[in-house]
Parts: sequence; C-alpha cells; structure tokens
Amino acid sequence: MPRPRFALLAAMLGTAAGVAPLGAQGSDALYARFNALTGWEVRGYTFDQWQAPNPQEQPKSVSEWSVPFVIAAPLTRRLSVDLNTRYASGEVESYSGARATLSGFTDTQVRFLYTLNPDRLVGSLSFNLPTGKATVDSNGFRVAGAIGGDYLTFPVPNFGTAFGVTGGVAYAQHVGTWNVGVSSSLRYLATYQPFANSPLSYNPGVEGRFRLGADRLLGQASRLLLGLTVSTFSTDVYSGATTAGFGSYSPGTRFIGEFAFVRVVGRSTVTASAWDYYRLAGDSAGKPFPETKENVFNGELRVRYPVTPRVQVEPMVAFRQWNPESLRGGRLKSGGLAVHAILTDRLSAAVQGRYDGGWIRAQSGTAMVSSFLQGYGASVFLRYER
Amino acid sequence: MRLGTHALVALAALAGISACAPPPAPPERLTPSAIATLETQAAAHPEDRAVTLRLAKAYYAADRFADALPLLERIAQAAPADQETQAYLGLTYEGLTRYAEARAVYTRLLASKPERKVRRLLSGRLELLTRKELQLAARQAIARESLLTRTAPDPNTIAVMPFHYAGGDSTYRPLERGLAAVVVTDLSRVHQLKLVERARVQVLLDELQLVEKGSVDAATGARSGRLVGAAQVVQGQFTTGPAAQLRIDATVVRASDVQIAASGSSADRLQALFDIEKAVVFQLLDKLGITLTPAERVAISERPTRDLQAFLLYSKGLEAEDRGDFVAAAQAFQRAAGIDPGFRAASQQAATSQDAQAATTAPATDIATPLPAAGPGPLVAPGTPTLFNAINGAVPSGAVVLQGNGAGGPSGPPPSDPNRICEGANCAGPALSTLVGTIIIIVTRP
Repeated sequence: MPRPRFALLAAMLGTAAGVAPLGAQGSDALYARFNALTGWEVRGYTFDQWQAPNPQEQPKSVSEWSVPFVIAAPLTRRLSVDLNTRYASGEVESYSGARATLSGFTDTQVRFLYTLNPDRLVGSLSFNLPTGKATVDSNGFRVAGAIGGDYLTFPVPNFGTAFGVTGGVAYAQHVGTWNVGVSSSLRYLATYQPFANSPLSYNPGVEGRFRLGADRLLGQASRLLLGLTVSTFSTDVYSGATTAGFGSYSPGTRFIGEFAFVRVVGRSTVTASAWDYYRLAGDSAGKPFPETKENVFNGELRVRYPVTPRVQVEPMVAFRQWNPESLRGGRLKSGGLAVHAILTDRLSAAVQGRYDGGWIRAQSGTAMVSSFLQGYGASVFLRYER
Repeated sequence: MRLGTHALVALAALAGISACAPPPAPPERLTPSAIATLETQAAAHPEDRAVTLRLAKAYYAADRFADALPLLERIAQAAPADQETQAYLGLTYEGLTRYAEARAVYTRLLASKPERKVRRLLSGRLELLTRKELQLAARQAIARESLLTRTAPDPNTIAVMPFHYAGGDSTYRPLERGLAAVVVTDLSRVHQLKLVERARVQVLLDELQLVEKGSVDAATGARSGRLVGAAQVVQGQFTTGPAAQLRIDATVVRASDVQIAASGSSADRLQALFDIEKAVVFQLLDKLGITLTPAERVAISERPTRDLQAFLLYSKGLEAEDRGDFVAAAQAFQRAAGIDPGFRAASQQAATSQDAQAATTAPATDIATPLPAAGPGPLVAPGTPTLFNAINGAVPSGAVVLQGNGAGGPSGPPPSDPNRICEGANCAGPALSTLVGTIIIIVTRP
C-alpha cells in the first residue's frame, strides 16, 4: 500500500518552519516559539553467554541508532503543533552468528495542541501517520520484538503501525500550593498487517488514558513534579491467520507513576527522578496470561553544573529494576555524562554518553534463561529555537 | 504609612507560638479604663513580666508606641530570649519609624530559626520595611535637596531610571521596569561602578510623582540622580515596530551638569531583546571609557532567561510590586518561574512577594492555627508546565524531548507508547527469541 511518506513529512516540516515567531506577540499557544531538534542517537546492549537450553539461539547483541526529526511551533495565537519522526536502524545478532536488521523511517506523530483557556485548558488531537515499517518479515520482527520491550528500552521502540488518532484534553487547576493537571485521552489505531509473509491482520483495541499530574515549588530553589497515568485497553483482534483465522487479546490495565524533584544548589541543578511502570496481566477470551504482568522501576539522579555560562556538564547515575510476573527479571545500574552547550542564541547542543551493567532473567518458552549484560548509549542533539 | 495591625499582631503572636504553647491570643484593643487598670497592676508588680508585657501589648494595640517601647525594652533586657517580646519590640520600633532598630530586631529573630510561618512573616516584614526605609529616605532627600545639590556624590555611583516605552502596544509597557532591572544587574557586574538599587530609584520617582508623566527628561533624571546620590543616571526608551521589531536607546547623563556622557542604541527582532539590551550596555560602558575584564564581559552577557514570555511576566511582577500589589506580583513572578525554572530572579522575587503579602494580610485568626506543613496560600498559578505534564501523559509525543522539565532524563521517559503488538504479546526484549511463536499462540486461541 503506498504511503504518504516523504511528501507528507516535507509538507509538515515546511508548514512548521514557515510559521512566524508568535511568542513575542503574547501567544497563548502551548508552544510559544518555533523549535527544531535533530541529531544522532545510538543505544545497544551486549549479552554474555546465556544460561539457556539453546544459548546459540539467544542474542549476543541488540543495537539501534536513529536520527530524530522533531519540530514544534505555534500556528496561531492558540494553536500549536509538534511533529516527531525518526530514521532508525536496529540490529540483532545471535550467538549463532545470525544477524537480523530493520531500517527505515518510523511512523510520524503530529500533535495539535489548542489552548481553550490560557494556562487552564488545552485540547489535543494527535495523528499517527503510517510512514514507518508496520509490515515486516520474520527477521524484521525479531528486531522489532527486541527493541519493543519495557525493560531494555530503546529510543525507538516501534518502527511502525497504522494510521491512528488520539484525542485528548488537559485541565490545570490550582489546589492549595499545588498546580494540578488532569487529562484524558482516547486512542484509535487502524488495522494493519504486521507480517509480510502472513495474511494475519491486527486490529489494536482502543486505548483510554487518564492522567493526573501535579507540580509545585518548594521554597525558592526546589520544584516537585508528580504524575500518574492509567491506561485501559479494549480487545485487540487478530484475524486472517491461516492457522486459526481469529484470535483476541485484552491487554492488562497499565499504570505509570512519575516523580521528579529539582533543586538548585549553588550553581548546580540537582534532579532526582523516578518512574514506575506497572502492567496487570492481560487475557485472551477470558483466559489470563499471568506472564504479561510486569513492573519496571527506574530511578535517576542528575547534577547539572555550569562550567562556563554557555556550557553545562551533567553527570548522572541510574537504576532500573524489572519484575515480570513475580520474578526478579533484571536489574541495570547506569552511569553517564551529558554536556549541554549553547552554541548561539538560537542553537544549542547536547552530547550524552552512558554505560549500563546488569542482568536479565526471563522465561523463554518453558525454560528460564538468563545472562549478564552491558549497555551503552550515546547521542548528539542539536536544537534550534527562535 | 500605618502598619497593618493584623499582620503585626500575627507576627508577634506567632513569635510567641514558636517559643511556647499554647499560642498567645492577639492583644485586644482595651478601653482606657482597662489600660488604666493594667497600669495600676504593672506599677504594683513591676517585676511581673507577664503583666508588663500585657500592658505593652495594650499600648501597642492602642497605637501608643512611645508608651509601649520602654516597657518592651525593659522586658527584652531582662529576658532577651523571649521572642514574643522581641517581636513586639520590632513592631513598636516600626510604629515609631525607627526602621533600622526594627530591622535589627527582625534580623535577630530570623537568626533564631523560628518556625516556617514566622520566618516567612519576618522575611515579609523586612521586605515591607525596606520599602518604608526607601520612602523615608526619598522624602528626606527631597526635603534636603538644596543641601544635596551642594554635596558631590561618589563619581562612580550610577542610577538607572525606568525605561520609557514610546510604542503603542501596551503589552510591552511592563518592560519599562524589566529593562531597567536588567540594566542595573548588568552594570552591577562592573566593579568600578556602584549601582543604586532599582527600587530606591522607583520609590523616589513615586515620591516625586513622576511616574504618571511617562517619561523623565534629562534634567529631571539628573535631579533624581542627585537625590539618590548618583553621579550619573542611565535614561532610556524603547519602541516596538512592525514585524516584532524592537529598538532601545539609552544615555548616561551626568547629574551635576545634565550633560550626556554616553549614549547607545540597538535594534533587532523583539525575540532578540537581550541581545539588543546587552549591545546598548556595552556601548554605554565603552563610551564611558570603562575597560571590562573578561569575567565582567561574560557576566554581563548572561541572560536572565531565554524566554521572552517569562521576562514579560517578570516585568509585570516588578510593576505590581512597585505599586504594592504583592498578590499580583507573586503570581506574575511564579508564572515566569514556571515557564522558565532557571529564571532565578523570578523565583527569588516570587518568594519575596509571597512573604511580603503574607506579612501584609495575615489575619489575626490565622495566628492560632498552625499552617500545614505544605506551606503558604494559593499564590501559584498553574501554567504551561502543568499542562504539558498532563497532556504529555495522556497524548504522548516523541516531541517531549523538547521540554526539559519533565521526569524524563537521560534514561528517557517510561515506555508509555511501546510496540503495540509487544504490549499484547509481552515482548520482553531479546530474551524471548520465540516472540513470533508467542503471537501465533495468542492468535490460535479460541
């Protein structure tokens, strides 16, 4: 099926780039100025020899690099838009020496944000444009599966799905000393064929989200942000498979809690943040799949320090714990360094690098497999703002 | 200006709360006969500090500050650690316009680390005291103007007048204060110069009732400079034009002879406001023959914020603060800090205005009710960060990388929008090489 890839993307980029800077005109739009970001990002994990019945079939490494294209701009006094797409390339190498790769543009997300009441109420309409690789062969799906997990995450977790629409609304209100934001959304994704060599079609269920966020200043130098997102899903439907012709799956309700505490200490800015991702078990036609229940906790501490007025360094340490079902499924300890530089008044850059060490233990079929692993990541981002 | 009785009573009684429990009741306005009875009791029992303090509070409540003062000084000497007495002593000094002594008392109380609400009230009291001191200094300067004109000020002292907006869009009028504040900050980086605080200049202009006139001409500016003890005065104006253009012109006028010592001007897009302002400041310094050290040059080049909206709100905050509207000031500063959490001047001014507001309006009934640990009242307006926090969770977008204030850091945000098939089939990453098989298992189930 032909897809409006580059023409559509170019049109969107052109539209956004041509927008006049409205920030100076007292814009009520959520994005008051034109912003663009691009660069290069790589993330990968290498695995030691697996403790598994079939170690040769297990992955030796999984890696992904990508080039982001992100734009945000005001369109009118109340309307703004952001657009996000990437060119990405992923690779899985097994201990048997087999390699699987998947490369191409991802889907393009275009999100319109309309300010109904300044500082109070925003409506949003987001489109998932299918510019990516939704249909892949078995090798491609091996890559897609490897980068789509919730524990060893990648910047691009998904190369493509189908056309989708998400409508949402957010309201902010002062409650005591807190700023509280509540939001809700409904997401629809069209049917698509995930496998190139199979007539199977996949119709994801509708996703509903509810979000409660809160933030406040603590004294003169600190800020606290909290968030809780709950997602519920209607049933995913698979059809057209030659083996059975029909199937369904109801994903479990998902909870994401977020916390961030930012404090200015002298010339440094210290950020302690954490999130917890908890997903209940899904079921198929009433039969539960307890192995789909999982919890991922991520904690992080960063200190940003200005070495010159235009250059800031930011070391960080992080911790991640994965608990699929009721198991201890994996743990990562990470360290990294970021350098943020203001190149000109409109152009800034961020260079980041990180290293992770940890392990993974999971069920593969009927057997438990495990491995120690090392992770790495690096990125160079350029941001333009006017 | 008459002291806000409720606020003062609150302050004093809260000081008592921090020292002992239960909290003391605020002093009531006693009838003359009741005061006479207290006077009799105090005379009969001069060693009874409680009776003496009751009488002092009664004098204070009746605005008899001069009568209250000796009693409070006597108790304070006998019991220097009694915070309630100390608080009333400070309030009484304020009532007698002995601001320096009041400031010393409040500063001592602050140093004793009282509880949070008292600390805020004291900080606010000090802020209000500063304004009163400036007003008093301005009135005294005007009264002694003929004497001041014969006294040569320190030649390195410089004052900055509010910039005059010559354009037609009232949106930008608050920048009159904001630009002056930034220029003061920039010039204060130069070690050769001594800057007169912006608030001191503003209070003087208010006393001279020059604000309503809009602009201050060179002669009036020079006169104002002499009145605040400045040898030179920076005066400027700015205009906005079509296509969001901004032009800033400024001069340095010698206060002694009203001659222009330096001038500078620059124009560009409005978004480049700080570029324009810095260019003008560098021109002025260059023409004044001041050689900047590299460190000074770098310091002057620092932008208080990169967000023009935040700076406009900050300027509105200054405007509200200058007219004594601390609620509006705190809200504007908070919004500015909300838009740009790195805008420290806005955060600091927000806290200062909140404290001043609390000190101005805290009702007596609040005294006996300790505040919850969460802190003070509803002065923070929700804004863009809160809305982004909410909408990003509900309608996710990869563009969240453009917002640097969320929970997502180098490790990235939580996987809220992963591969949807994996969502259903539990793609647990590379360990599950039989992923496709998992999908098929699901599909084949009835």
